[in-house]
Amino acid sequence: MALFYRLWPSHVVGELLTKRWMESVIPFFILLLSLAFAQHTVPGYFQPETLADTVRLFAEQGLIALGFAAVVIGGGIDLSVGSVFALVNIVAQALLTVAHWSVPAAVAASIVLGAAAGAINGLFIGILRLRAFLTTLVTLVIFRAIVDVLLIKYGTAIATGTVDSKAWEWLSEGSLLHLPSNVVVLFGFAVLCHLVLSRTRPGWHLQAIGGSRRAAHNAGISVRLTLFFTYVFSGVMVALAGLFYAARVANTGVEVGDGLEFVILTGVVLGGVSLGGGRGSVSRALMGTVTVFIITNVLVRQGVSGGGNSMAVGVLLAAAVLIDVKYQNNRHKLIDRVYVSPTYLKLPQMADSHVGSGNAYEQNDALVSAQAIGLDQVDGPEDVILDSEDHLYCGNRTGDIFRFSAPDYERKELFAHIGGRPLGLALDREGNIVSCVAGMGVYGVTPDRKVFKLTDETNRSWKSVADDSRLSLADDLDIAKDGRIFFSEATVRYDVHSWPLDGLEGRGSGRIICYDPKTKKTRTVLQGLVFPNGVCISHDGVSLFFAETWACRITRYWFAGPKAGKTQVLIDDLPGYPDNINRASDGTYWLALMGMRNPALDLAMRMPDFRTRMVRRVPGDEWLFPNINTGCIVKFDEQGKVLSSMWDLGGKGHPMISSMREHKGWLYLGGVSNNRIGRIQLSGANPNWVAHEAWWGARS
Amino acid sequence: MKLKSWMRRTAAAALVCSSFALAADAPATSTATEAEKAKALKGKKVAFIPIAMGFDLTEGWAAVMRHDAKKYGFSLTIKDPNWSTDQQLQAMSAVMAEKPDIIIAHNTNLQLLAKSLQKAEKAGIPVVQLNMPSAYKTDAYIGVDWVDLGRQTGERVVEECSKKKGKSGKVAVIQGMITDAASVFQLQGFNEALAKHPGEVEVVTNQPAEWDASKAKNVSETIVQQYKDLCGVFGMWDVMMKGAGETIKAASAGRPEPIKVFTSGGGTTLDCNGIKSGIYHTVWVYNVPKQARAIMDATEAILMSKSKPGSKHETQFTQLVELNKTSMTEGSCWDLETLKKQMASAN
Repeated sequence: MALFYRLWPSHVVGELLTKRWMESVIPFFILLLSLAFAQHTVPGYFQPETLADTVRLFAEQGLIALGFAAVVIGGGIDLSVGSVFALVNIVAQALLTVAHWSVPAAVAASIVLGAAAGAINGLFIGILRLRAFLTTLVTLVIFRAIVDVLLIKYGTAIATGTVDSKAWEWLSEGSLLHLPSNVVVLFGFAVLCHLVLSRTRPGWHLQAIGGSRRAAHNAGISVRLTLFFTYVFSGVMVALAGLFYAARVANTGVEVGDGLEFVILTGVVLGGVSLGGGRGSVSRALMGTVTVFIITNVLVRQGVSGGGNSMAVGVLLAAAVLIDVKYQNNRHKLIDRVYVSPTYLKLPQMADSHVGSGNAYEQNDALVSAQAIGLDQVDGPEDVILDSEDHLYCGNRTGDIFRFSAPDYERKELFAHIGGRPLGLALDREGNIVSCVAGMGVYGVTPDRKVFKLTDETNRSWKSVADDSRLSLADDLDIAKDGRIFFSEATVRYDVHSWPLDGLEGRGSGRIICYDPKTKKTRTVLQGLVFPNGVCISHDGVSLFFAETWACRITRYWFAGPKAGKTQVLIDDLPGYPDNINRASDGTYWLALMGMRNPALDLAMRMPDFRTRMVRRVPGDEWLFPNINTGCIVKFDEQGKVLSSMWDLGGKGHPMISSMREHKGWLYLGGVSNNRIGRIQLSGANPNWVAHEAWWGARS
Repeated sequence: MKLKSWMRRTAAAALVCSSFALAADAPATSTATEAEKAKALKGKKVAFIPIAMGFDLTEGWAAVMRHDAKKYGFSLTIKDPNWSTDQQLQAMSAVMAEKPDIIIAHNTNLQLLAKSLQKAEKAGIPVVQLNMPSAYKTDAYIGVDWVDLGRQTGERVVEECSKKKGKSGKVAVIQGMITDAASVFQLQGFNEALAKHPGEVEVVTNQPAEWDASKAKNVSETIVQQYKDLCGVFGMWDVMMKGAGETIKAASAGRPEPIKVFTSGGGTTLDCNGIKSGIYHTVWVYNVPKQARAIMDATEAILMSKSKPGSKHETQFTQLVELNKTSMTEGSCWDLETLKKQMASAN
């Protein structure tokens, strides 16, 4: 049971679903199915010589699909593609056979014609903001009518005429590098479209407009012009397709391009280009179009009558639209359902902390008398730190670093605004405040209040499905004497707003990362930790302590010296959930417990299915959670022996203590959700001890 | 070796005889015995690409084709593009991939398959074109001489509607797909005939209905309303003109003289019944069972010959029979279901 949960990567499902490329997986799978279907039903479907012919038949649809996809991604639709296709087909042939134009002139004129047809759509839909569906339905009819008129007038002349031109021949039957001419052009445009859509400003603008026209407009995007040009682009692509078709087939039939919009629409939507706009890619549009083409082509080859063929396309479209709508509507619900994936976590027996137990954890009221600093002026000072002039700094939920001025700490000022959620703090050798900022990374603030970035990414680990190169929840840090910054990232699976869910999972998703300012390189040094939180370099300077919150343990890690690379669990029976660790003046260490364990939750951590059901069925405020209504600070020594503890039972002043900092005989308390900073005088502590001067040496 | 040269000689003889027979448009008489034919045709692959299945012409041809396939042991594939040029093209390339021994093509229009047929010949596959030729000439064309049919129709129209004979001289034309052989060439012949009688007949409108009965009906509805003194309608296919004919007949009710419908078709009972009920005035009939026989004879002759595809261009025009109330007899028309049954049970 326990082993199953430890080995079975159930969390991967949710992480996969959050990937954007997951949206391509379904169409890709359907494409593979259709290929298998073709291979199965038509022997020799993929023989090179016949395949070249088949691909040539496809390429024109592919070209149209590119333009069509661009329009759909922009939130529109272009039903007129079939008519424009027929128009270009007939005009190109008329120019060559009746008007006897040269091939380059006829080609150029045809492309201009396609662009003009697209421009008409673009004018009405993009600029004049008419509905795409109705507008292109109207232009579909109008362009078709023009085709009919032209056919009556020139049809016979075209049908009995011939074109004698090498260039026309190449369009029709030529090839480049063994690829049919139209496939070469399709490939070129596919690559171009992909780059434009995914790597350039107009492409991003188009996706933004498709996602939300109003939001895009408010963001300063030229909605009208962008849409206008997507229709022009669609027209040009259709014109190219029409040209290749005219050259290849010389078809003068009245129903050329009839129902083409239907086939292309089916393909594009089947590929996962959402009809709602904003979602889609070139590869997906082409995958879907290929799928539809293969299926219809196979049916024709199988001798299935034309009616059956249209029905197949209809069924595909219905399925595609259904998948599109259902997937878009339910994707987030699905992710919500499956993302949280609790695992088995057995905590060791906790140390007894009852009054009268006689051990170092024995409960007391030592913290109840703590003085409040900045009461109701701060919101969640997760960590606090003091400088040589005794000024007090803290982070705040609003992304700020506040300063309370010595000696009375009555005056609060905004020291710097970083953004994100500043958590752990440290002072470096130069006196800069270095902070772990959840959602951003590790940032520094100079004494003259300039904010600078140290790092916001680390190496991508290949085992992880979720992209763990970005720092999403940098938590606490400490700086070694050589300047290297060691910091914890509590979890790669959640952000600062949903970190309690990581606790419910009880999974090792966190890590210790090192940033070296000399090389400006960031490397992950330890992985698979259960919500690593506080980080503190030991007095020896070659190892560090880190707290794993949900595992209720403190571990020591040597980053230098003879034991470099080794880890050792120091304390594993904490009665609460450890948070920050800091050095004390007497050579020991302070540890904050942000919540207390309880037997019910400990049991629940050994029952993953129970927690899964709890997350799915019970509202969040009813979940089992650590007792965070009690604050506690523990003191331990280098060997992990717990020396004493200070409690705030009932938690009126300082529940959920996440940090403490000793300074000149006082202990300053921070809490990640508290509305104040606390301070309490320590008896017997060195009244002149300043933490960073003890570490870096007093500055001259 | 001996057997082979013997076969070649017989085949050549068969070809000569059958070409002769074709030219004479008589029932096929081949010197090759049935047994020899069966031996030569066994295991051959014949592909038929119609414009669409499901109507008298193609179903009638197919019935005879199936009969022969069964009898002589060759395989027959029929790809139904259902009026779609796109699918006909795909069907063509699909057929090419299957490498048949012969292709029978029924062209949707003059240009659509022209290049593919040329390719097929280059690939060594002979092609027989059936009733609807393409711009590219292949080994054989079996079907109607459309120019002639148009000419005959034109002459009859002049006779029936000429201003010289006190008629209005107003005639409407409902053609097929504009660029298909039947429409292009019939119109050509029709115009030639009218040109010989200048000023006698006036074509008031000429509209394509794409072989679609409902389109033809729509077109005829507007025509009869627009031209109160219309004399005749030249509709290029009987099946297409059935509904239209009824509309025209109904519109004729209040007129001094009924509007005459001139059309042509495969000669099923549709034509005889139509003439009887007054839907059609005159129908030129190309008898499908006979035509099918001719197609199969030509196809089989080519299969048995060893000549290079594309080296010859046989043309055999189907005999046209003009049917009207007076010329029609009991046996003038045939019935598709009966033909199918006959073909299924015949050996």
